[in-house]
Amino acid sequence: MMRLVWFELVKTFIRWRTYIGFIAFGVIVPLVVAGLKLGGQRSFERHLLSLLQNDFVIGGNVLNGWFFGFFFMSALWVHIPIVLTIVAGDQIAGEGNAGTFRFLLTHAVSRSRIIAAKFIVTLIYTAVMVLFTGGLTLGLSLWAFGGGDLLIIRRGILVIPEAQLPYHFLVAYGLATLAMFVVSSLCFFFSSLTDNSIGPIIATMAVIIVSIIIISLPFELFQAIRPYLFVNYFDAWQKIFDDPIPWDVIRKNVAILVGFMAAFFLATMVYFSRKDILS
Amino acid sequence: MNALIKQRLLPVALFLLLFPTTVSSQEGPDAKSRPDPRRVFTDLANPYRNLKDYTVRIQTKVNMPTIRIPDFTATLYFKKPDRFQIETKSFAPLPRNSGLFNPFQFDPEKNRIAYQRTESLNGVQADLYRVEPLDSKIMVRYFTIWTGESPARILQVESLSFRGTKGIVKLSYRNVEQGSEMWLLPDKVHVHLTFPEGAPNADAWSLTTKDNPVSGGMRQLDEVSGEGDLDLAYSDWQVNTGLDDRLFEKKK
Amino acid sequence: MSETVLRTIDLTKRYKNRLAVDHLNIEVRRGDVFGFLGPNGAGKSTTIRLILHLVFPTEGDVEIFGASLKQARHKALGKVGAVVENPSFYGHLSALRNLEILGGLQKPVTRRTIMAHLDRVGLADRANDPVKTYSHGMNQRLGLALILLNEPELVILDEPTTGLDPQGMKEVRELIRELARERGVTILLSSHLLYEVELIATHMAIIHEGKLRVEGSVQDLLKKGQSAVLVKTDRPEELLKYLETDGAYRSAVIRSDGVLVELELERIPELNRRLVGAGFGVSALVPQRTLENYFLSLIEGREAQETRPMERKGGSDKP
Repeated sequence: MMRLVWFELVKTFIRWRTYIGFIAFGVIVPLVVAGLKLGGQRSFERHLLSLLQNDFVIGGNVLNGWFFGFFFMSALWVHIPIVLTIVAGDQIAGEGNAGTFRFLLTHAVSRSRIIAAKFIVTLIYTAVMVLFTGGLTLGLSLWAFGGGDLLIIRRGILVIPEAQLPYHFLVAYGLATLAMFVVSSLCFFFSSLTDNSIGPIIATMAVIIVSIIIISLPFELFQAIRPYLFVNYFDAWQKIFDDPIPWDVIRKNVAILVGFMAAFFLATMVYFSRKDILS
Repeated sequence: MNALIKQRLLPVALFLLLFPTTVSSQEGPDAKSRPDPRRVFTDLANPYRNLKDYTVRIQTKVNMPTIRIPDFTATLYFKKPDRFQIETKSFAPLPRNSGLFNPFQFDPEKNRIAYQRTESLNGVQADLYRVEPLDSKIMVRYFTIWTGESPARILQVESLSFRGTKGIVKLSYRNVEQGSEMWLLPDKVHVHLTFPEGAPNADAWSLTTKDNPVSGGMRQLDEVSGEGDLDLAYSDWQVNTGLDDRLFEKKK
Repeated sequence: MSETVLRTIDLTKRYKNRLAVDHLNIEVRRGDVFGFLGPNGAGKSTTIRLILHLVFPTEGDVEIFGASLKQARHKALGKVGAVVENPSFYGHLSALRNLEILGGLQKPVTRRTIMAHLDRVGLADRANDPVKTYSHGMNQRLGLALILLNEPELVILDEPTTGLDPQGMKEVRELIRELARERGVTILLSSHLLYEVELIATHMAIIHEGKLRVEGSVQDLLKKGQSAVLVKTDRPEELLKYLETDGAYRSAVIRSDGVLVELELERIPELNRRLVGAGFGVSALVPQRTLENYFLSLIEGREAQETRPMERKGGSDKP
């Protein structure tokens, strides 16, 4: 199995398209940080704290590296999933399109092992992508804006002391990685249904965007559907920044996300194990 | 008989002589004993005439449901007439107009001051004044100030901001010796803030649910409501150290 | 009787309303070069995919080396190497890396072994080039190198010479012969190139519309087939008229190189006497017993259609 995983790693990480996400964030994040540094910071401050400044004089480095690191985490909803689907969507569909299944699946190695190896590599890529983005955004932000306490606006204002922040961000990115695992798993499943890798990318993003819309709008019908949508549990990574940390809720979110991931993976296994390879 | 009358009448006469004075001092000031607000506040600022700048360490405890902040420490710099700079690693919101000690804040030249009454404040006789800032940049409609004790000092300040936030500030002082000089400076300050109800930020209109996870953490602060307390403890006063103007330049 | 290496048992595949393979029963024995013939759309590729478990049967099963594909896929495919249609590789990887990955799925393969196989197919000097830079012929050769890496006992080739030039075709045929004769590898070769199968196959099956039409050794099947003789004469039109009037022979058609008369080969002397006796100048009588004729007769009925270009090159490369 390890050899299969290694082969899949080689196949995936030798392709240049695997690095699209890294390049994209590697360019965009510094640009945004530079923009914030050059003047966006002040307008950010006014926008964010206008009400508070009526009654308080704010001391300290509010818009610091941790704050912007937290701000960049909002990319986890849409931007990071896009780049994840580029690789996840190609894992199975790409082989079908290229016709390489005709060699890959005509060996004594079972389909389920090959799919499992591909899935593991998809998750590895996902984790690397999320952690790279986190490291880049936090690192650049801290370098550009310095440290300080983290100010979060949620049911008023919550300030988390700087000493606690490395732990919070570590756990948050762990949970974010899990959430992104679900995205990749869904895309991986879509990839098994087709020989065209564009389809899974579009389908996955459509599911995410529509789900986000549903969970955001206060309509009764939508709110009734909301518990069944996996994006509803994505904010586990945000809950880490609450006080007190709702560990029970986070545990529940984790269990649900793991459940979704397992379901998508199993669906892929079941479907692909019986799929006729015609390409 | 005459001696008896004298014996009995004398206390009465004495009482009658003193009574008007006694009564008049309790019932209300007449034009002669009503304090002059201008003079009172000028006298309040007088001991600080030679104060050009100060540096003080403030330790703050915040107890507010809507503003959950850990205890923080900040260094406050002040330079006459009204420049402040806060230096801190933490997020440090200090109550505007009450957490920043400015002995010249209630200068009669900059405020309209009217005497209200005299009353007991925590067992101390205190004169009540209504102070309306003339500078429109100060976001307070008016202050209600209690002064008293000896030497005279501001004991309590109540404020009402334009936004509707009410603040009650209770001050205690101590003598701070600096070289040959002695300064009466704040030791502890207790601030109670009451934010107005139902005052959403007009810019924060949103179609989405309140617990919308997508924007969680990044929402604009759309309302600060409820009430809470801040306790500020001042220490390490350093007065007239010659603070540089550059210290007060706004960081970009 | 040699061991049965591959057997299909009522193998059937239905796609919605279309029966692609209909209760197919074929048997390939050890040492056979088994030609699997049929026109386009007959079900050859589907059958190969069923055998290789790329496609799942609607009914029936496949046994390879006695192991059922349904129940013991691992065991069944363990000794099989296959190239299905055009070999497809990971274009962004080198030939060396491709063989390392695709050849090393079951057990690791050393670089030395890989290079030896690449050398055998003439690709050693391009081992480190990305496969996307390879020509079609090079891809085919690389495919053959791949399937031989694990030393299979059964090799399945689906249209192995498609798109190759004559030299390439010849090389593939020689490789197949070498595998069969020298290494004792059993080969299942599917093709629509009849000449190719006739040249190298020992046994064959013909499939049409999903059904097996006939199965047996090439020699036996050829004997069953219709034979013909090409009569080279100076007056072909008149000869045709004579034969049509005579009615002693099943059919006759004019070709560019003579008149093709359908008859049993043992009647050639009789034909010669009749034609000479009728005054025709006969310069040559060339027997035309071919697999193509047999194939066509099976597929299209007894009447051979208008002559079609035969994919034969001189007829000199017989096994």
